[in-house]
Amino acid sequence: MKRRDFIIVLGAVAVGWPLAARAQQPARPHRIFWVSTESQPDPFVDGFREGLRERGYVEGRNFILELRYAPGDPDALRSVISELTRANVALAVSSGPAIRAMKAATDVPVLFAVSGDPVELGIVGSLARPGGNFTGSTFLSLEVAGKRIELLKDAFPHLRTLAVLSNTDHPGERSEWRATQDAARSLGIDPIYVPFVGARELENALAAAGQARADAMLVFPDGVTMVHRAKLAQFAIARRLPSMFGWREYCDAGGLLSYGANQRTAYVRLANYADRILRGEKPANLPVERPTKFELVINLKTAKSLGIEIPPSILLRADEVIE
Amino acid sequence: VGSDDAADRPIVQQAKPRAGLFRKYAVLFAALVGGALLASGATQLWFSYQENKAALIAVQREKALAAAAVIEQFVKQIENQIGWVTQAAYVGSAAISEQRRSDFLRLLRQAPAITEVAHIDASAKEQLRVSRLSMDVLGSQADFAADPRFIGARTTGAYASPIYFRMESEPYMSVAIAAQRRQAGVVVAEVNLKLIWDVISRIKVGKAGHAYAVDSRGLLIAHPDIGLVLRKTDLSRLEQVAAAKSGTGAGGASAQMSSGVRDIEGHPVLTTHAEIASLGWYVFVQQPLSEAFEPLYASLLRTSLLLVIGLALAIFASLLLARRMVGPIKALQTGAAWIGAGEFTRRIEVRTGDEFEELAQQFNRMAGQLAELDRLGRLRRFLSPQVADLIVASGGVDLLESHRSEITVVFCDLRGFTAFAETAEPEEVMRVLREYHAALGALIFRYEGTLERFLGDGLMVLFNDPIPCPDPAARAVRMAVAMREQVADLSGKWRTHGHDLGFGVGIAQGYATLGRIGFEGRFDYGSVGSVSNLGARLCAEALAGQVLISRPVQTAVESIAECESVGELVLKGFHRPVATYSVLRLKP
Repeated sequence: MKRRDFIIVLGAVAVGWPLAARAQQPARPHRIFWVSTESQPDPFVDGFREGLRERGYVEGRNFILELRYAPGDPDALRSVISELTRANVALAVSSGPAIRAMKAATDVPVLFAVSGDPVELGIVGSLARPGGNFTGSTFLSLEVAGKRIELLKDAFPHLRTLAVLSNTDHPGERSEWRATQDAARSLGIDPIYVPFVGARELENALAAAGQARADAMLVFPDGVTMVHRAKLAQFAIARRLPSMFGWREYCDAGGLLSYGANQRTAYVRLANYADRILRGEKPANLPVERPTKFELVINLKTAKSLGIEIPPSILLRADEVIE
Repeated sequence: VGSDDAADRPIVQQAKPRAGLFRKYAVLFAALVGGALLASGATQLWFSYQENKAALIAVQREKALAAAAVIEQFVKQIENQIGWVTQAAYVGSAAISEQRRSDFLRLLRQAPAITEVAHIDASAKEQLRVSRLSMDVLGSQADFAADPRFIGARTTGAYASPIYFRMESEPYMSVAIAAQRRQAGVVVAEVNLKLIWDVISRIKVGKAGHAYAVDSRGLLIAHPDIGLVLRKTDLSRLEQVAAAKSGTGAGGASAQMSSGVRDIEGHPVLTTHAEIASLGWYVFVQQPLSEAFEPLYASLLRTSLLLVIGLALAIFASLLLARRMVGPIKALQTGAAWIGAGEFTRRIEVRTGDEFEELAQQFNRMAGQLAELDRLGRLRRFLSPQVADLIVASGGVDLLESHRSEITVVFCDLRGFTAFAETAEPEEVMRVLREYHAALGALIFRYEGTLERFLGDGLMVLFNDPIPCPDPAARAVRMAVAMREQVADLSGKWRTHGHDLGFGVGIAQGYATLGRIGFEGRFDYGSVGSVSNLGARLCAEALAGQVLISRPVQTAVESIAECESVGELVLKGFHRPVATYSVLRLKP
C-alpha cells in the first residue's frame, strides 16, 4: 500500500518494547554462599555454575560464589549462619547435609538439595508451597531405598546377606534403614546394619562390615559416605563385595552399582531457582522440585576386577555403563 | 453653477470586520478538509484495527491448535507405547511374568513420563507392578474389579483418568489400555505429566507469549513455569478458562478478545484456546496484549500520524485558500472605498485568473463608467436634461474641451429689477426671482438651450453648442418669444403686487471659443467671443417687452418670425453701428 510506505518514509516510530535483559547487570554482583559438606573438587558446585551460565550469568560480574566447605561435618558449618546475617548475601545454596546447619538461617533465601524429605526436616511447609525462606530439590532417596535392594537382588540372585553402611547422623536415616530392612526381608535377604556416626567412626564401620561375611554391601547416600566414596569403593573391591550406592558419583569413584536421581542435573536446575530468587521471587512460592529420572549406573571395570558377571537384563536397564 | 462636493462625502472606512471573513473561510475549509480526512482516517483506523485483530486471532488460533496437537501427541505416544506392551504374546506359563516384567522395564526406559506400570489380568487381579521408585510387585492379586481404570479400559479400550496430584504437587494421570485379546487383561500406567513441560516450554508465542494446558476442572497441567504446575494451581476462576469450559467454541478453537482477559498474574493478554476432546483438556496460548497488539499499535500510530500531517496540511491549505479568496475581496473593498471617496481614476489589480479577476475587471470598468458619469453630472449643470442625455448617449465627453464653433447667444433680464431689489423685501425679491427662473428654466430645457450662466435676473443661453443643432437662431427666437409671453403673464401678476418689471432679450449669432473655464474644484462651461458681447449689448438696449436680434439672426429667422428694423445701433465695444431688428411675433 503506497500510503503506508509513505507514512513509513515520513518516519513512523516503530513501537518496540525493549526486551528486559534476561540476566541483570547489577552495579554490584550478587553474593551467593555455597555451603557444602562435600569435598573439593565438587561436581555439584560445577553443575550449579553451569546452570547459572546457561541463564546468562557471568561469575565475578553478576555473581560471586563464596564457598564454605566442611567435608563430612555439617556442624562445622554453624558459623556460616552468623556470617550470612552479617554479610550482604543475596542467596545461600546448601548442598546435601549442610542443610542441618543452614536450617537456622531465617532471613536469607536458602536453596537446598537434600536426599530426604524436606517436610520431615521442617524446612518447608509442603512440597507445593514451601512457605518460608527455603526451597530447592529433593532426591527421593528414601523412596528408592527398596529399589536399590531389588536391583542388587536382580543382579545377584543368590544374594542372602547384605551389609548396610549408614551414617546415623544423616537426617531421615531411621526411615531409610526401616525401608531398606522391609525391602530386604521381602526379597529374602538378611540385612546387616553397620551404623556409624560421622567420618571419625567410618574406619570402625568398615572393619565391622568386613567381618559381617555379607554377600554384598549397600551404602546409604550421605555427605560422609560421599566424601569418602573412593575409600568405600576400594574397600568393597578389596573385600570382593558387590556394592550398591545412591548416586552415580560413587560409581565414578569405583562403586559397582548406583541407583538414584542425577544430582548434578538437580544442581543445574537449582540455578533456575537461584535466577528467579535473584530477580525478586520469594522461595516461599517456588515448589520443591522432585526428580523424574532415576538412573542406574554400572561400573564394569569394578565388575571385572571383582570377577563377576552382570546379567544382561540388568545391563539392558542401565542408564550408563562405565567401562 | 456646479460645485464638486466629492470631498465632502464621507470616505467609507467602517470598523474592520475583514478578519472575520478570513477566519470564516479558513475555518470552513479546515473543517471541510479536516473533517473528510478525520472521517476517512477514523474509518481506516477502525478497519485496520478489526483486520489486524482478526489476523492476530487467526494466527493465535493456529498456534493453539498446534499446541493442542503437540500435547495430544505426547499423550497419544504414551498410549501407543503402552499399547505395544499389551499386544505382546507370551508363551509358556512360568516365564510369562518375567517376560512381562522385562517388557515393562523396557517401557519405563522408553517412556520417561511413566513412573509405574501394572498388569491387571482378565479377572481384575493385579499380577505385576513395575515402578521406578518402589519395588516391583509380583502377583499382589489386588482387586481392580471396581477400579475405574480397569472398567474404563475394558469398556472403551483406552482410558485416561482425571488428573491427580502426587504429594499434592506432581500432576499425574492414569492411562489404562485393554489388550486386544480380552483374556490378556489391562495395562495400567501412572504417567507423570510434569514431563509435558518438555514440549510445552518449547512452544513459543511471540517473544513473551506461551502455551499452557488445564484439565476439565481448570487445574493447571502444563506450563512453562513448572513451579505453577507443582503448586497445583487452579485456573478455573480465570475468565478465559471458564469460557472454554462453558463450551464457547467447543470442539475447535475460540478466542477471547475482550480487554478484560487477564493471565494468572493479572496482566492483560490476548489468548485463544483449543480443546483436546479426547482428554477433556484445554490448551491455551497467550501473549501479552501489549506485545500481541504491537503491530496493531504501530499501524494505528502510522494512521494517526498520517491524520495529523493531513490535518496540518489541510489547515495550511485552508489558510492559503482563504488568503487567496479574501485578497481579491479586500482589493475590491479598497476599490469601493476609493470610489466612495470619489477617486474614480484608481484601478484595482487582481491576477487570480478566475472569476475574481473578472469581477475586478468589471469593477474597474464600473469605476471608469462612474468617472464618466461624474463628468456628465457636471455637464448637467449647464445643459438641458435632453442635451445632457444626448451627450451621455453619444459619449461626447470631449465637448467640454476648448473648441471654436458658431453659436447663437440669448441674453435676457428684467427691466426695473435693480430698483425693485432695492425697495422690496428680500423675501419678495426671492419669490419673484423663483417664479421668473422657474418659468424661464422650463423654456430653456424645452428649446434645448444651454444655460451658460445666470446672475440675478440676467440669463445667458447658448444654442448649437455643446450639441450642434440645425436651427439655433430659430430656436433662440422661438424661445425668446415664449419667454416674453411667459414673463408678460408674470408681470401682470407682479403688477398687482405693485412691482413694475419689464423683460428684455438680446440675441446674437457668430463664432466663439467654448470650453471649460475656471480652476480645479470650480469649472464652468463658458464662451469667449464678440458674439456674447453683442448679445449682452442688444439685451441692454432692448426695451421692456422687446426682443432685439442681430442681422445674421434676422436673416436666419426671416421665414418664421416677423421682424422690424430698429436701425443701426451704436454699441459700446463695437466701433461700427450694428444693424438691429426687433422680433414682433412668430409667423403662424
